[in-house]
Amino acid sequence: MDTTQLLKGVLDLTVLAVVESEDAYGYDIVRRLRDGGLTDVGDASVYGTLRRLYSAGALTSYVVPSESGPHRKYYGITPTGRAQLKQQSDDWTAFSTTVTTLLNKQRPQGVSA
Amino acid sequence: MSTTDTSPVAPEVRHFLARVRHELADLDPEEVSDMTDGLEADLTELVAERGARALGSPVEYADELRAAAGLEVRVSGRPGRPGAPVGRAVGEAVDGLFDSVRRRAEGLLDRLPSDARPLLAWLRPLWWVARAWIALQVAVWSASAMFGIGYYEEYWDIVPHARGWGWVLLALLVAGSVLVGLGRLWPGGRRGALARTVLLLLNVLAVGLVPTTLAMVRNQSEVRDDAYSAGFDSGYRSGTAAAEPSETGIDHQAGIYSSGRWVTNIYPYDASGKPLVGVQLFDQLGKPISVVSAPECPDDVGGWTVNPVEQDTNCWDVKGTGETVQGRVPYPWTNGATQLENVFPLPTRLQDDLHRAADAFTQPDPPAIGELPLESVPPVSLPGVTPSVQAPPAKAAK
Repeated sequence: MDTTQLLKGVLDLTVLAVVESEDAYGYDIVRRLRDGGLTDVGDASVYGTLRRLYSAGALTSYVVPSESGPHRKYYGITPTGRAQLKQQSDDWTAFSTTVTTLLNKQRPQGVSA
Repeated sequence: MSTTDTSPVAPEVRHFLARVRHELADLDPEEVSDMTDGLEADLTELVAERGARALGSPVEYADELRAAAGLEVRVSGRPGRPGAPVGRAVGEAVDGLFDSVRRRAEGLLDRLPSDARPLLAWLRPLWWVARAWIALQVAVWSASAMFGIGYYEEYWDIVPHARGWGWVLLALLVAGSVLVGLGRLWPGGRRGALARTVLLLLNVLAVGLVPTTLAMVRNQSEVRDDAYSAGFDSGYRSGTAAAEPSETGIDHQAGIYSSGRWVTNIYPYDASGKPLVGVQLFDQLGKPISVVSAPECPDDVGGWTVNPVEQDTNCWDVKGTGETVQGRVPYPWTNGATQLENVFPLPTRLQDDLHRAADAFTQPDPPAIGELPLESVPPVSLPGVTPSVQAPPAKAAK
């Protein structure tokens, strides 16, 4: 199954979750998502998501200058973001439970048929 | 939290980001800078970790960024035409082709030595200006040819006059061309296969017209010194067989053209039909009328023809013997101070050398009116108009 479509639906949720645990810059977030198992996540998708969440007020951002190179842009979560994360986590849990339950119900029938 | 130390930005990262920003050029600049701010550091890290290849296509990167940020995704092909799925498929295929060609070109550019890149960066805007200039030249020329604005230029000015609007038009075209080049204006980077195709064709056309345009403009600068501004309708000239257009010859001098040949002398006759000598001629504006006062050589039908090679100092035997023959050299009248080219008939003198001799009038054979083409002509009259020289009353009337 093509997981990119599924990924789209949960990108907000996962990005918020990663940032909630610790402020991070874009590439760091990409890496942590990948390390977490979302290997197909696209870099640009994460940056676009960050931009959208920031516009919606779910994230703050601040720049950390560097002496030896270009500055880094860090993201942190806001109360709005936390509320959104809570809401979406609940939604996800309910949704995935529903889907799992549905699949488990269908499977025995499929075998017997 | 990771370290903030990053190495200076690598050229491939800078190049990649420039491309991405170019793709996003239609968005609010503030939006773009917010979205791509900090990417230098991040992409540098990415390249250090996964190599430059991991950057991928800037076009796809920009599209993904745009889609994930929930910004308007640019549609390839013509947007929103439900009745034309085939057209859209073709559009997408063409768009894809353009993208892959572009990606390949970018790949090639990346492989160039880094000191060649500033040169290429310079060549692009140079071309934007050049194509605007070519467009102006061709447009002005086509307009004058199409609408038959009687006197269209045989040669092109570096900036066409265009009724005084040349510079303004050029400025507008350059501005438009640069905006298109930057992707600020149509077709804005990659909006629509049709627009991109049209732009490609226009660019190819402009490249094809470079030699023509340069050649036309160079011709113009070569003849600039000629007094051709007092010239003649080139269309009229091209319709006459006798005059062979040449860039350096008599064609660009002032002159009178009549019945398919250059007029080299004028023989006025009065109303009674008698020849006049020493007549000053002026046109409707009071400007002196002069003929092509150039040396003439014997032609192969026993007449005289303007020496076709201006620089020649001798006439050559038309039989091809290789020997020089005498030419007919005009000597204008004078008012004591200057020579007047508008007094007729023009005295001439037969000479070996085709230059006017300073001592011609003291020679045994001074310039003379010579033989008249017609001894006399029939008298003319018009009721109510009194000629300056009246014809003697007809004898029969007495």
